[in-house]
Amino acid sequence: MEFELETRKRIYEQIKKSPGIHFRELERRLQVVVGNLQYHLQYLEKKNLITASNDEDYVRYFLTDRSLNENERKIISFLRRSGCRHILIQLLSNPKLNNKELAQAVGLSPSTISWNLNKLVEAGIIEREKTGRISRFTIVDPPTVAELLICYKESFLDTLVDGFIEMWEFKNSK
Amino acid sequence: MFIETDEIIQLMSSLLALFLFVISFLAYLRERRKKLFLLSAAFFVYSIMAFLDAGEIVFPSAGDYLEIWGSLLNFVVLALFFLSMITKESDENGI
Repeated sequence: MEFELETRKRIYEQIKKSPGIHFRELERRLQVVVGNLQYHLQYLEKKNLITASNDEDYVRYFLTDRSLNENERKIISFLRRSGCRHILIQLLSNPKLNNKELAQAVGLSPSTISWNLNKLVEAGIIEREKTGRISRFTIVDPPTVAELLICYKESFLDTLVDGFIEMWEFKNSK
Repeated sequence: MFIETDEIIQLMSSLLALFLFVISFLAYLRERRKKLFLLSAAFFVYSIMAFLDAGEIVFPSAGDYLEIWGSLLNFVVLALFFLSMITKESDENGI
């Protein structure tokens, strides 16, 4: 899942950089196998993140103009936090992980994971399912989170702030 | 007015500390953790301290008075760093 997201993100970024880029050029620039590229482009089209238009010789790809609703803006604001972003990526691939499993997968201390999980639960982005003493977490709307992860681009300021937080907060930062 | 090299370096330190203050304060606004607030306060005080160290450019006649304030702020910076080190955040919902 993480790998697929990364490939889709690369494709999305490439189309953003070169609007109207055609299939072969995308293939050449990204070095993605044809079948794979087709699959990801279809996915992005289906999710309305890109549009394809036929000129006489080529199929050309463009980004869809997309305005974010309130819920999507909330999710984006959490994606800007490195810890939350890594947690959401893990939960997309493996729903119903608990705190300990997430801490191992993300490489952050359990208390940091716990803190981020609380924030995500409060915001209604993930939900907690308690069985006995163990809480397991799932994303409320996985398709939207996956789409926004593709669109999300870390700014230089995000990198600085994330770096600062990791430097002072996290024992095993990733 | 002639500005000495060490004063220029002090001014640069002050600007760098101010920049670090902005980054750490943004980190605090994003995470709302007490530890980050203490760190941002430490960087802010450090930037004032570095500015005062280079104070002869701005306040040439202040002399010893500035030195006392500089030393006091030095202590405050270290105290804030120490406090941020020993501050533990509680997990609100005990997840």
